[in-house]
Amino acid sequence: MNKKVFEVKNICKDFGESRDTTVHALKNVNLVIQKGEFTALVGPSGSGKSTLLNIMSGLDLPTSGEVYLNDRHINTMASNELSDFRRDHIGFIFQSYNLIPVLTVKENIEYIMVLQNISAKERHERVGEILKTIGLEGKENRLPTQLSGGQQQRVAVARAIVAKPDIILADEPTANLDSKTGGALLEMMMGLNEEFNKTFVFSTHDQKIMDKAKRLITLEDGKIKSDEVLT
Amino acid sequence: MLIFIKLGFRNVFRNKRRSLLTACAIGVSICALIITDGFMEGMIQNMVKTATSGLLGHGQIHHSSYIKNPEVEFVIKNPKNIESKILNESVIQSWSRRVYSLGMISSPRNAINTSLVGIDLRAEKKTTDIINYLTKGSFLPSENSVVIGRELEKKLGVQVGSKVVLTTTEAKTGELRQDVFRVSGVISFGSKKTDSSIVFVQIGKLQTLLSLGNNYHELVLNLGDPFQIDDQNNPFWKRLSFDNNKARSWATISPGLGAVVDMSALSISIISVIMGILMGLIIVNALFMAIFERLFEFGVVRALGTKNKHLMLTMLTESTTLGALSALFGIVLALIFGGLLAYYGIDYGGIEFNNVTFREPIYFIFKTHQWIVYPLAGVLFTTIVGIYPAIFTIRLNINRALKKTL
Ligand SMILES: Nc1ncnc2c1ncn2[C@@H]1O[C@H](COP(=O)(O)OP(=O)(O)OP(=O)(O)O)[C@@H](O)[C@H]1O
Ligand SMILES: [Mg+2]
Repeated sequence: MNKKVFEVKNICKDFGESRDTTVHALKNVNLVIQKGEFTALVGPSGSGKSTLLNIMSGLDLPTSGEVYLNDRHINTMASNELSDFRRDHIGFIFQSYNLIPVLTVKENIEYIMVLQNISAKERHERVGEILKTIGLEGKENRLPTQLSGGQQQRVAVARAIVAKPDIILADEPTANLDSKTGGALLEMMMGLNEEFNKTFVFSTHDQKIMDKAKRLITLEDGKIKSDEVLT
Repeated sequence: MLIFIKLGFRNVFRNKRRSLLTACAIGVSICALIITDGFMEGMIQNMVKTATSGLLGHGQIHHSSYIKNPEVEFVIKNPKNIESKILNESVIQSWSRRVYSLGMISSPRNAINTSLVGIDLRAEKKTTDIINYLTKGSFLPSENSVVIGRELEKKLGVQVGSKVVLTTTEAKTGELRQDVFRVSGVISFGSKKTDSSIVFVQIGKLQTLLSLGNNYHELVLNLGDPFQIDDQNNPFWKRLSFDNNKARSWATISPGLGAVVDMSALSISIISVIMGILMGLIIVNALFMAIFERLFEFGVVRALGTKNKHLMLTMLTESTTLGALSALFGIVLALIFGGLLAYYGIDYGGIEFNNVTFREPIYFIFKTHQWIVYPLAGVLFTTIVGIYPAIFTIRLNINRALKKTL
């Protein structure tokens, strides 16, 4: 059970070119994520949560330090290789506007599987399964605008896990939802974590949401202030 | 692959108003090209038909020396031979002989240098339309009648029925010959130059005056459709060129008229280039607006692992769809305007251009290529121009597109 998925080593991230305006967004951050963890990343605004998630996903490069996923050093990959690697191993959920508005729910979920060259038959099966899991059966032909914000985020979660990644990173996935809907989305993510042993790392400001995490990492001023396992 | 095409296709209809306006703008350009083409075609046909229905005819045969130096002595060689050859050419609907000579026409008031044209009235009526250019009187009812150009009528101070004297030089001896004629009619071709020098006489009378016997200078041909074999390289013209005689098409005889045809092709090309630049700017502008509107989305699809080729496919589908929509608009617009112009035409009656006077309105002429070449070129061009914004999206930095939100 205790298998290391993700490792962040001595990450620093500076923004800004000139010396006096440089922001040290991350200062020597070290972090190991085990398979099956359900981790919340918290901290005040500007503490570096988004920056860390961006670097973990390979969407941004650290100023120094290394990021390993399944013991592969992702910062040295060529952009094409990284793009494929990210597609196959990392799922993302953004705060909002995750979905392509002109594609239906089914097509949005299928999109990443098309990129993975998964056969139409299997895509169809997986979409059917996942819609059941997220409780949106029968809505596969709707467009994102015909769904509520909470339903849209569920589809985003579905898209993130359908490609069978090793880890799912989510930056404030509930921030645009009311607390009830946000809570329900998190319950669903927890269900996926417990039932299928999916690994999640998500950032949040919401006390109720962070209470549901199994591990709570607090960032402050670009450093990890505390890292506790909750029960 | 289908999903990227679907995505590109549907993106066009995301901002319906903008796409519609863009398609309209490009459609108008395509329509303008079709209309210009059809109208030019109409103008050319009108000009050529007018010119070839007059003295020019669809083709002419001369002694080859006569072409360089129109002396009375250079009559067609072995006319019987050529006349029997003509009977074998099925495209020749009719033909007529003509005799030409310089001369002088005098009235009590004035004496003026003229070109005398001897025509075979019965054959000429079948071959050309010159009789319809008669403005007054009748066309050579008797041996001693002449039809004179309108400007000559003024300068000589004569009327239909007046007597005039024609003076010319006999071919062999160079002796002056004179005879008295009565003006039977007045003719006008709309060209001042022609109208102030032309005098028609019956062919037999002029042959006698010039002592030519049955010889003549010109055979004018009617081929039904002037565009059928207007190319001088057509073997038809070679078959009729023998015994030191030369047969030429109207386009060769009147290079000015032929040049107008080439010129119109050139102007269509120039207009196409200008329209192309215009269309290109409209498309690029529209596509960039669309891109900036959904920058975040490009970040998302890139983050999901969308490859350059997928992005290219999506973007080019979008621009091609826009192009196809525009072509459709262009065709519909052109059908409406072209239809109206084909029905009503534009009246340029009486305006002289390149020595030819438009006698009828100019109509839009439908040609198959207009409805294939211009719309297809529009679509193809839109697709090609779409490569630029597509490359822009490929070069987009994911993180910047996402505004660092993850
Ligand atoms: N592109 C950038 N250019 C300059 N500074 C940046 C940039 N992105 C982030 N920062 C800075 O880095 C620090 C960390 O920002 P980050 O977005 O990671 O914070 P956060 O914890 O996600 O905050 P929030 O809870 O408000 O989302 C902040 O001081 C921020 O101003
Ligand atoms: Mg943030």
